Amino acid sequence: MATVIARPIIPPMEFPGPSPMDDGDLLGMRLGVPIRIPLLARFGMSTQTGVIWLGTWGVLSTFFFVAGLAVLTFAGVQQMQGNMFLLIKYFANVQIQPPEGLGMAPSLQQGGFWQINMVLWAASVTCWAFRCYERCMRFSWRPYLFFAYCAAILLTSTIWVFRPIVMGSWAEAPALGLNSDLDWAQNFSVLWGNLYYNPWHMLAIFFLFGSTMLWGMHGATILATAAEGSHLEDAEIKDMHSGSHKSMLFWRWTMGFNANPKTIHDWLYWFSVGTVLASAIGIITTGPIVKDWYVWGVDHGWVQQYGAITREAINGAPQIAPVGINAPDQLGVPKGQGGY
Amino acid sequence: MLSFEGAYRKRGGTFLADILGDDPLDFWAGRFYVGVFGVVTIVATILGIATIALSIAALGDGDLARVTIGAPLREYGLSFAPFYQGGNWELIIIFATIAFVAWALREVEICRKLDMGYHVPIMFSFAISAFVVLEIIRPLLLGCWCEGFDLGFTGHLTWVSNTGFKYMNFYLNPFHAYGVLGFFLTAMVLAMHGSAILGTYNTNADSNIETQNVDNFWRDYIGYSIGELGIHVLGFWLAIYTLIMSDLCILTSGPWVKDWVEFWHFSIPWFH
Amino acid sequence: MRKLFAPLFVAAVVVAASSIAPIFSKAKADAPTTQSAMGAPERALQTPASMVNPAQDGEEIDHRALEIYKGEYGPVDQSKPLDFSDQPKSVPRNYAAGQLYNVQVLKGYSYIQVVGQMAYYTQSLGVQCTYCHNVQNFAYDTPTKRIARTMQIMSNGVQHDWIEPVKHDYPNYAVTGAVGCATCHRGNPHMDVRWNIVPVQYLNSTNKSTKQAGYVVNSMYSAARSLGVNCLFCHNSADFVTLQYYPTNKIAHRMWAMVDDINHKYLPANIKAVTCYTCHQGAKWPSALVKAGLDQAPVQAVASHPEYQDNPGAHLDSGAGR
Repeated sequence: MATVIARPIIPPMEFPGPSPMDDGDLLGMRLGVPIRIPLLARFGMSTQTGVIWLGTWGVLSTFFFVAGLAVLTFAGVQQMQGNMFLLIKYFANVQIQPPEGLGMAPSLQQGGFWQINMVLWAASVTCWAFRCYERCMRFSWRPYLFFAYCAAILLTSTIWVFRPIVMGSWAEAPALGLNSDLDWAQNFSVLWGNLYYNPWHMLAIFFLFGSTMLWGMHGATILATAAEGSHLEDAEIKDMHSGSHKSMLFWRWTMGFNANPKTIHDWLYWFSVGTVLASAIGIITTGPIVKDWYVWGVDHGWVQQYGAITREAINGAPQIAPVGINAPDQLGVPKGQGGY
Repeated sequence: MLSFEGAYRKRGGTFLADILGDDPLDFWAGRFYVGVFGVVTIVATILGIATIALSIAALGDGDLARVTIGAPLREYGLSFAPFYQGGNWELIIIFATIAFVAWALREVEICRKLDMGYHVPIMFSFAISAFVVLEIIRPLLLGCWCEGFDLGFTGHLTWVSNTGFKYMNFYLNPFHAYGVLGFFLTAMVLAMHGSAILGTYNTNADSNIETQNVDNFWRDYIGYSIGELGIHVLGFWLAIYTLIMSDLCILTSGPWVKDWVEFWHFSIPWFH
Repeated sequence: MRKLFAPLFVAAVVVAASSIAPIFSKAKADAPTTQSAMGAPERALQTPASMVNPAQDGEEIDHRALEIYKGEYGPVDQSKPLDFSDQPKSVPRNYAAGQLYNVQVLKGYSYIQVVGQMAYYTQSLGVQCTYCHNVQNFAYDTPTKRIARTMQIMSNGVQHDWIEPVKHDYPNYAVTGAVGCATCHRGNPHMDVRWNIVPVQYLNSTNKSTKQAGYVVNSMYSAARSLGVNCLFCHNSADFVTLQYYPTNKIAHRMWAMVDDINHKYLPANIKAVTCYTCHQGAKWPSALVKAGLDQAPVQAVASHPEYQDNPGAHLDSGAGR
């Protein structure tokens, strides 16, 4: 079936009625009215936007998030000396750096803003986790989504909190800013012997690219058979119809293996969660356990040795012998040397 | 065979049948469909693996993680290098491309048999395009086969690292950034869709949990529910977007931009 | 059981990946097992012999000039013409007889040689005599003259300390006269100060936080842009930290120490005006050398050095041709 639908059928808008599980939440309400965007129906997507559930945790999370944004903006404006024009032009270059060491930052400019933002970010993310759990329970979902969200938090916490603590300095964490985050990724890899040779990094990339591959496969398969209703996956799990038959047979004939409408979602889920979990392990092992992934790779037979490895470089002996530095008393003046 | 499979196994409708009238290769080997493209794939794969095995034997390193079949050196340009100095690499690329394209065409044949849309081979073609762009198109544009990545488990990672640093800071390549965004979004949306189905599915025919539940959850949680068809549309196009951005990111590095840090040092008139 | 298949597969991949190491031998490859131009065949390379700097020239140098310069850098405003209102209008001098007055650094130069040197100064800096001199009284001391003395000491010092010893490792390198005023000033009294780099002690890799590593990486970018090359000119990115076998990497270490030495010895404490760009100005070999016809010598010298023979391919990809 075509991905663009010529004459879409738009169902009426709806949201769930009251439930006893929603009682007891001070901010337990759905705000406003749903808005319809008819264009989305042409692409097979639902046209109803809203109504979002507030909830205490949601409101708290939003508040902390907005507060963090405000602090970031304030710090950015200060970095640009109050010039809003420069702030827009150099928006990507704004960087709020962490302090050195593990204590409180000596001042706002030297890591204070970063630490304030970390606290606000942590609060916002934690509140959202509670919101996620609460909504899953309200709708009687198995906690897959909550677990995936916790895995994502685990990764970001590893990068910004756990590993800096283990390494003994907040300066190990990325600064806040677009270019500085990218620079952190580059500097991290350069400092620790090239992260490409970190096997957990390899695994994480395998799962990341695999996720995209699986999404392509699953999305394409469903769209190819959507005319027979294979996209109604809950119904298909209970009782498979021709759409699911064709999907399964396509892959069985192509590669000799097929999932079914339920297990394909196991594959999707565990590949995406595997990405963040493998990344987290890769980050936390870099520094505390392995100092140089290239050397580790050579030692364990993974990597071609490209040249003599100067172990002094990672063990701390000086690399540069002072060369040509002579006592100043012996300076000579070449006669007749007028240059060219 | 699966319980329902018999009704779907029908001969006919293949490329060879269109040309010759009858397709002698239109059969199943166990659970695999063969077809003319299946034969081509198998032949190309066997030849490619034979070339790989010969090369590994010549390199004399039994460590499969470490051994690398390198691209030819710059001095050979776009010509055929001697077999052990890059010719083997070139041959493997040819066999691999043939095998991938044949696989995609075989998928088209299977789609025709099952009366499905061609979405899967189209998606796979985008995946092939990444390989072709990296190993064939970009070297052609830059004038030598040395620009393709080396074939080896860790060998190709060294290539990726060196190529990235050749352009100073590859993270500043905007297409790379869009591609990374696509990959991360894909992973996130995948987790959301997977957990939606796994969280709510029920194999009992008389369950009272219906799909409406999923829509309501997403509307409560993030304010929008894309719908069970829409999520697959989103996933399909996200994957294609990611692959297109990846193709662009490596095509622009070399033929167009030599230094991605310097790339951003432009000034817009009036904007100073 | 079927529903555990996917997570079990993922777990199996993880376990297999982590246990794969003992399966492969721990022996390192002795023979080159890659034919890639990107990685190079490995061979243990010797570091160059430490360079001995034989003592030269027992001449005295006026170190007062250095002290004076370092103290007076701040207030000197070189944008305004010199003010000689408090000087006598004319002072009896006998230049025609070849007399020189108040020569402190160019000791032993004859009159003609001094004038020739002055002509070189004006050409290299793009200035006139009045930039440093009271033309009614050439001997009179001015702030710019004092700076020029320090600059002359510096130019000689750099040539003697850092450029002459290169002959020990690259005997074909024509080092004579590599450093002069024009090398850095290029016809401009005010140098183009850009592409700053960290001190050389920063290049040691241990005990660095990721933030400090960032300073080093930024410096590497500065150095690369100053030379008009990319990272692969000196590095194999498989490991920036331990793989330092390219000859260019070793040269760069020396150059980095030289820049540090110049900034430390000849410039006031907090001013790091000299960077890689100062001399190189975007070229692998400074164009000042090109003008003197000396640039081909380094090319040949480096290319013919035994250490360079192993990895010519790496440098072909360095993008240095742009």
